[in-house]
Amino acid sequence: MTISVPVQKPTRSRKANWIRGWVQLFFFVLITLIAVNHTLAETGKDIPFLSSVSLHALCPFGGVVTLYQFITTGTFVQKVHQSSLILMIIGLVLAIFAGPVFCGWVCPLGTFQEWIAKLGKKIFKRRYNHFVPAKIDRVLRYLRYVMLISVIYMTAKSLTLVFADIDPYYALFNFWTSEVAIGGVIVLVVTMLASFFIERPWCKYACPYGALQGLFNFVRVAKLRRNIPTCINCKVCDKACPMNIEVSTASIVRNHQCISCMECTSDAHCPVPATIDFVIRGSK
Amino acid sequence: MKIAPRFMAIIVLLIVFGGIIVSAAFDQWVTTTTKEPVKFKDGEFAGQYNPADIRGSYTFGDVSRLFNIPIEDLAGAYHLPESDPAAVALKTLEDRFIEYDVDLGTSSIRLFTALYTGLPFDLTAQDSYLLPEGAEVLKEKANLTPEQLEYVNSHVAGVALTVEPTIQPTSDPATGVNAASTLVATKSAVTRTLQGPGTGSGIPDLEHTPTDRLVSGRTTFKNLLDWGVKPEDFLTTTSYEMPSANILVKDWATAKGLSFPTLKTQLQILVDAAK
Ligand code: SF4
Ligand code: SF4
Repeated sequence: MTISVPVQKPTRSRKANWIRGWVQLFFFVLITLIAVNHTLAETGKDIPFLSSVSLHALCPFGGVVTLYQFITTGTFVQKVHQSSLILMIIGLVLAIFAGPVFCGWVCPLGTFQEWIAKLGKKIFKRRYNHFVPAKIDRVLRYLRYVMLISVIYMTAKSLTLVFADIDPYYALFNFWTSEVAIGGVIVLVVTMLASFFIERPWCKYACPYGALQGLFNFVRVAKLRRNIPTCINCKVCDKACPMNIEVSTASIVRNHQCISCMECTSDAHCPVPATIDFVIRGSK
Repeated sequence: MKIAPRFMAIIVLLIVFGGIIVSAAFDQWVTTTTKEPVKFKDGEFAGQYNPADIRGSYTFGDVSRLFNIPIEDLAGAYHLPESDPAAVALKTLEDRFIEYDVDLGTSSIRLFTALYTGLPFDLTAQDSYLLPEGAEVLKEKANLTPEQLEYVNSHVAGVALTVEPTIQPTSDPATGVNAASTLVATKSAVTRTLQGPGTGSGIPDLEHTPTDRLVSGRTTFKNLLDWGVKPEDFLTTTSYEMPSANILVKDWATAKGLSFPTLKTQLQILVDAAK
């Protein structure tokens, strides 16, 4: 039985979610400046009043991989500091609140991939982000859990920051230093090239921290709800979603790949007001 | 309640920076292992770091950065590995140079740093030694006074340094363990010329037999077994069978090309778990 829904013309067109772009830009610039300052500090020419800490100290995933060693010995994996644990807790609080907000709003590597995606969209238009056959894509999306488990296991076993050898985030902000691992640079270049065809390829298929954050989509307090009676089934939300999630068929989006970017919402792409929004449980 | 993008932006900024500020207020926002020696307060060198305050938790990279000493010079002076010498922690030196019977730990780095940089240092405070290569680096790169030069020349470790250990068979020669490893050495009778680092003797020094369940350069596999470490756990952790009981773990790791500091930490976890 099909339920007929009164079809309306979209009431207004909305600008994209501009405020997210500014928040992302802010974090990207901040991390870039800190990374540059870290290099300058080694020659004693650092910019005053700006942090010059190592990016390892500003990575919440460092907190995740060091957790085993921290619990068993009270020490941190080489290169990881207590600040990583604090950031891990901050990421956890955000994730419990609304899912992988860190991925969609903060992570500079995610932002960087989105910027390349803008070029990809210009080149490939509607074909962009639809190159990988659905069947293969679905399987590949679980790769990041394999990555998460192997990185945690190998770090616990070796007591060294094994992920640093392939970390594209560290490579992106340290490619000018000798600290960068060649593996990280290779992964970064592959990610950049893939971003011309696929939106956020690293996030979709490989990011171990994204994998962990994604699990919170099943339990997040603020839920992404679609108001079925007002939905006109135009599928604009599906097209807007960088993670190719079929928003238009769900009443509550619980997909493990959602990055809480809000691009599908009525405040961004959905043309009908109050039709798809992040809402706190129990409220309309 | 609906969460608008603007509200989400505020939440993100509030939680991220609020979390950092609150943790900083409780002294929990630590982005480095506080690696800043005290500075000289007055005189010609006021404001510069005092090498006497270098700690064992520093890495060679820290010393290089703090005192502006090229890492190549430090690497040459202390036989550091070619791959990532900056990551080597000073506290691992004692174990690396266990064969020398003089202090080649953090105090040696303090001495080297002070002489290299020309910063004030009390040479009489502690008897610190250098490796021959370290002494050469100083003679080549530092402006040593005649008094300092004399000190350096008389504090080079490993040059014709001899000790006299007694060799006795162990109480149970029937164990079938290799002859060299069944000898007990004490420093009183047999002359033994000390070798450079990495050429471990394989002779456990029972004068220093560890009793505190702390894995160090003097720990043997027998110690590990006595502390309750199971050979099968050792195999799972290292992917190697546990070798003969009286061999020094450090010598075994060197022979296998394994990083002793890393192995030491792994084994300490096994020892602690076996309590
Ligand atoms: S479902 Fe919506 S919030 Fe989630 S990733 Fe897609 S567009 Fe972003
Ligand atoms: S929820 Fe999606 S399908 Fe429904 S109206 Fe909004 S954009 Fe269109």
